[in-house]
Amino acid sequence: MNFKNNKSILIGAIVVILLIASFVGGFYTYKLTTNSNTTQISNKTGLVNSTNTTITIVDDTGRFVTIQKYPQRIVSLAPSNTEILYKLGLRSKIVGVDSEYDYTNQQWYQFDLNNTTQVTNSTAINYELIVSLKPSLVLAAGITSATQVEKMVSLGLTVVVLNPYTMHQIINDVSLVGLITGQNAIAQKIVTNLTNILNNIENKMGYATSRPSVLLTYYPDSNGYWTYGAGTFGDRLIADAGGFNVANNQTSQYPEISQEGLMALNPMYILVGVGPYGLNVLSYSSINPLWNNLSAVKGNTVYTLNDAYISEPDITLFSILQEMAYILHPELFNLTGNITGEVINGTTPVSNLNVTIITSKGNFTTQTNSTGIFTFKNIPAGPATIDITYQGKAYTYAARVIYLNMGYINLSV
Amino acid sequence: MNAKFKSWILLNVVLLIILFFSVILSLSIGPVKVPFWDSLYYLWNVMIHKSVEKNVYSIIILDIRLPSIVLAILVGISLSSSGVTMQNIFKNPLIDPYILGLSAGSAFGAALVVTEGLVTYTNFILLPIAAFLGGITAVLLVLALSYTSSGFESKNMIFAGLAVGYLFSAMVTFLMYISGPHLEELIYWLLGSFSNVIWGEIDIITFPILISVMLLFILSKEFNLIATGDELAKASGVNVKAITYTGIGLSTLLTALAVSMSGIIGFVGLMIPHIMRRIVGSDYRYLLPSSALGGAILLVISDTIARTILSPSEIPVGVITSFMGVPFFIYLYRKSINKEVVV
Repeated sequence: MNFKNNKSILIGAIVVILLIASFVGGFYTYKLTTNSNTTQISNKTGLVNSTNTTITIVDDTGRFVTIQKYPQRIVSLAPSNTEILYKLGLRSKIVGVDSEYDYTNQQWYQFDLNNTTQVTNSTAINYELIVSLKPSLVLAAGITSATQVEKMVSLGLTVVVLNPYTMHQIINDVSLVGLITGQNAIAQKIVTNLTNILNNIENKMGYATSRPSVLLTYYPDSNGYWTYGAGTFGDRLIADAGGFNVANNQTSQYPEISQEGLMALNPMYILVGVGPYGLNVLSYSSINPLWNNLSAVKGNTVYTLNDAYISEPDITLFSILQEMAYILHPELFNLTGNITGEVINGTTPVSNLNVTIITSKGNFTTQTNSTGIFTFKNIPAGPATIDITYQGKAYTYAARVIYLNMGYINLSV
Repeated sequence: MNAKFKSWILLNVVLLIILFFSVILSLSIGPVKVPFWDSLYYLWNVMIHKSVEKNVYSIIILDIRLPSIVLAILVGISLSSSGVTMQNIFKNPLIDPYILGLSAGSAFGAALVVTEGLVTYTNFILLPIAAFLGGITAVLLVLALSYTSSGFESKNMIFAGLAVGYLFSAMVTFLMYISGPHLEELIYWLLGSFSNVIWGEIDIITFPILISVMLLFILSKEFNLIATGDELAKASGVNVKAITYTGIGLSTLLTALAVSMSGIIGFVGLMIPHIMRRIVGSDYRYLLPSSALGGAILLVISDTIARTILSPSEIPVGVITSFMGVPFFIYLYRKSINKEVVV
């Protein structure tokens, strides 16, 4: 082939046209054969239509999905979905689960994995295993990518994606799964229960007068504390429970706050999740030498949450939310608490001094003992004021009566 | 026909047979045990009748394993052809198709759309498109940076390629740091895999790839002359600039198409041309087709290994080819310290 100018330009043009044509043809074929292009999209998750044999819904990604009534073989691709299925009494219908998570570590988990197949490996889905299980329903989650959903649909599978962003959406999803599996009665019971918890907390939060700052950490190491940034459920729980997440403005969703960073933030409450990484909070001081200087540590407002591996949008979050609301705003729930403290003049403790605490539900008085320490137990919890009179002068201090723990305050005169 | 041509034909026939058996093997191995004759039955039937009854086995064979195999072949052809061409243009056997920053650019394109959450169910094709455009952008940037008034020089292009590659890699790392729920999806994509592809996506890339390779083959004579040196080539009447641009352009297109669907799969574009050169020599007319076949075989086998070695989990194919690259480089190194490395 010679490269004379005109001829080569002509050939070049033909080549380019040929390539463009092949792309266009390729895309056309792609559009014809791919499901996502014919799928309708809607904004509202929920029921669309129900016939004698089928039920059509919109899932959390807006896809319309038609399911045959009722699925007897279900594959769940996330622990949050498995939990919903289990609580709806559908354990016997689960034929496949994800393998990313340790199911034995969950509060709601009571079944072994007999007769179920693990179909994922970290985020990779084993399509052959799923297809061989012949499922009538695949419950995917937010961690399932769009590519994976499309691949499963191309294999003829019925895929419903659950991806809630708020607590209300979790309730919605429970209702949805109940709908498509024919377990409406049980679903409604759970929905009512969860809605009550949520409404109760939301209503009471209307009366909160402040948002205490909170660090919610699930794992400490020598560099700092792993916590929840904006957009995570941990962050949302703190906000719903009436707190302010000190890690809210981090760029990463699961940032690590350094030891000095935590000193600077100095949150009023430190909530520690004892999830699969469960470390005894007492051991935190050995990991972080600055730990004992934190206000929350000195004031004893460090709490351990029972099950706080808060990275999945599951039903267990509701009990965690309730726990957090009680801790952050015990005054809204008429809870009682405790506070102890020391009255000190310079370095000398002041003994036998009357100490009065004024809470939202009454005043209480006690005396400091010989070492200057006073204690109030089982009095109304929440923000309070402490009044003392020493050598003719009146002193007032802001304090917090702490739920469950024994709060601590240092009063200098 | 001279003897050399005849033996080359024989080689390619052998390669085709190896490829055929690799495909059959790959079709019949997987986490789920499919009876061997069933796999052949479904393959045969779908080619003859265009459609086959849908049951568990036919879905596994035709919609899970076969698309992966076809993609492996296409990517193998693309990366090897691109590798041969780039090594020819740069007159350097240590060049791979990603030398002009293409892998980092594609990774950046993919990272951008994944971490911003732009890939939704209705537009998941955005991911391959973004990877494709990212790769092309990186190469265009490299060409722009390395342009001098006297045209392009390979040294400049390689330096610019390194720089652009580092730049995009750094941006990918940053995006990974700030990404939230999509991090694992992105990492998985970067490692290279054939298992998430659907037939529609293969439809998009097949003809552009085949046409590009054919175009490269048509230019064999010109590429052979280029390999002897730019001055000599010009003296023989070859438009060096045009051929160089065309070669780089088609190689970039091929590589970007491959990477957009499979992620970054390394070493194929480097190893296969090298191995084939030792067998068939440097004549581009022989080297290109044989390398294409060699690449296809390598990736089909790698895909099979990836699917079975830790069954039922699947290792990303890029990991397998990387592991293969290590002994290969050691071999190269040992050879080079024993005698001069021959192009």
